[in-house]
Amino acid sequence: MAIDHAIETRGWFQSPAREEDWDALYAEQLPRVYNYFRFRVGDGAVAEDLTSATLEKAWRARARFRRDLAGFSTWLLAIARNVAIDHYRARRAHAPLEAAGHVAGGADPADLEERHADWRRLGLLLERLPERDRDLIALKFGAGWTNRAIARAAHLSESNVGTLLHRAIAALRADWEEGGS
Amino acid sequence: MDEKFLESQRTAPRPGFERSLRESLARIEEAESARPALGAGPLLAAAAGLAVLAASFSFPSVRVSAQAMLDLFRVREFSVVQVDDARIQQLRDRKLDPESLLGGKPVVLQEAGKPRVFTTLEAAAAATGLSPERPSVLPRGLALDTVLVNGECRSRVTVNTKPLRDLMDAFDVRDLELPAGLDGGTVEAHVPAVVVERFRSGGVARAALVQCAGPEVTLPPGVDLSRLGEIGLRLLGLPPEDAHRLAGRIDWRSTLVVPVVSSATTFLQVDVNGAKGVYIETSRSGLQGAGDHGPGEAVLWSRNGRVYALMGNIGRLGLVQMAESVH
Repeated sequence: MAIDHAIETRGWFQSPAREEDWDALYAEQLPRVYNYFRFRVGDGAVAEDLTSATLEKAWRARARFRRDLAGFSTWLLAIARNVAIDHYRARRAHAPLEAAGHVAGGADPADLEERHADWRRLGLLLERLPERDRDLIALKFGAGWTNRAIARAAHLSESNVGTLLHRAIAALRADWEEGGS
Repeated sequence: MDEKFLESQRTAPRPGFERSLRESLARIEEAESARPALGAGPLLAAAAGLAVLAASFSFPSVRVSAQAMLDLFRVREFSVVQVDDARIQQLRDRKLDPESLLGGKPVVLQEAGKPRVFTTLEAAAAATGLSPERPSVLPRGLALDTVLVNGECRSRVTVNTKPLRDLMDAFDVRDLELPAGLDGGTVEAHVPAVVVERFRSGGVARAALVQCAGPEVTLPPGVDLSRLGEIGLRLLGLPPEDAHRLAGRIDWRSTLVVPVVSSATTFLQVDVNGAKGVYIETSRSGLQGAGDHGPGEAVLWSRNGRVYALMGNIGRLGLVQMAESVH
């Protein structure tokens, strides 16, 4: 019977000391993965689809996750980065950032509209970045990783990551100030 | 345009997206845990003694209760039997399953189908026509997370008692004869839909309420259930005198016997709004190979023809309070 399995499926009753608390990890990591994809491939449906693909892969493979080898966030974002690579392989010329994605903001419609406009503009600028720089930007500002964590994941030195990010942000800023879009 | 600006562009996922993703993960979980076929699980309930035995093979701790919930035979009361780890391990090592024990290939008359997952009780009720009850008291910040519905199922088997006789020989139960009329007889089982309400808090608190109308099992006429129950108790390792005495005291047509691992489990009778129930607490995980089972608690009770199991990690007081609020 499936139900009795369902009742005591992994993590449902266990103490987190004995087992990963998958629900807590899910709640904590979902926004990181989602924002990684927003910065990486765009807002809206594509980011959501890729977030779903990542979480579903991770969920299926959760029994193989080993905390002694990697932190959960590292493991999950490694899956996310592979999902992003697969996405680009499948769609060499991917669609531009969606024009009206979901942007959190205040209740003030004017404020919300301004944020929408900022994000649309930023998205177009992000598209011009080289693949690697965009990945670094997504890890840094989407997933909220530190330079050290990015360095480990990207097999770069921490100072190198800092330099690359600095250049990428400078390029974005230059485009932004030129009014590029 | 600076780092602060870029950080400010982060945003929370849409609630609708979060919800649908959570449902999607729940479906994956269900698909992973679903067993290949209906099999003879419900049929094993045909003989209460066999239900005891079968449950013990797979689920040595609290989980026994969940499986047993599906194998009920008009349950009105529960009786807990403590079984030592070694005997359960011996039974598990023999890799017996309900189908092989009954010796016949079950005929599925009605498939339960895949469990269906809902996010609200109202949606589950609307889609299934069921009227599941719910707890009004939710301790420790619990809130309803998902509702699973396992469909109604019916099956039939023609019993071949040889595997059971072989098992009795293997465990040296030679002083008891299987009841006349069992071999070659037909057993039919009808298990109504089972509803599982799962609750979670923002922290680690979890609970699940399982409920279903009493399943019905039709046995070959004249089968001595008490004898069958006594055999089941002996196979579970109870000494002959204890098994005989206990088998004689139990009304096998209305009592579900729940085997629990003696070294890892404590239990006591509880009153759930006037219904006699049993509280079971497992202090450690089950036997090796039993699966990912950690400490947990369960309350089992029956009322007005329905049977309930409430499980969780919220402590006895919280669990009983929650059970008492189910209506």
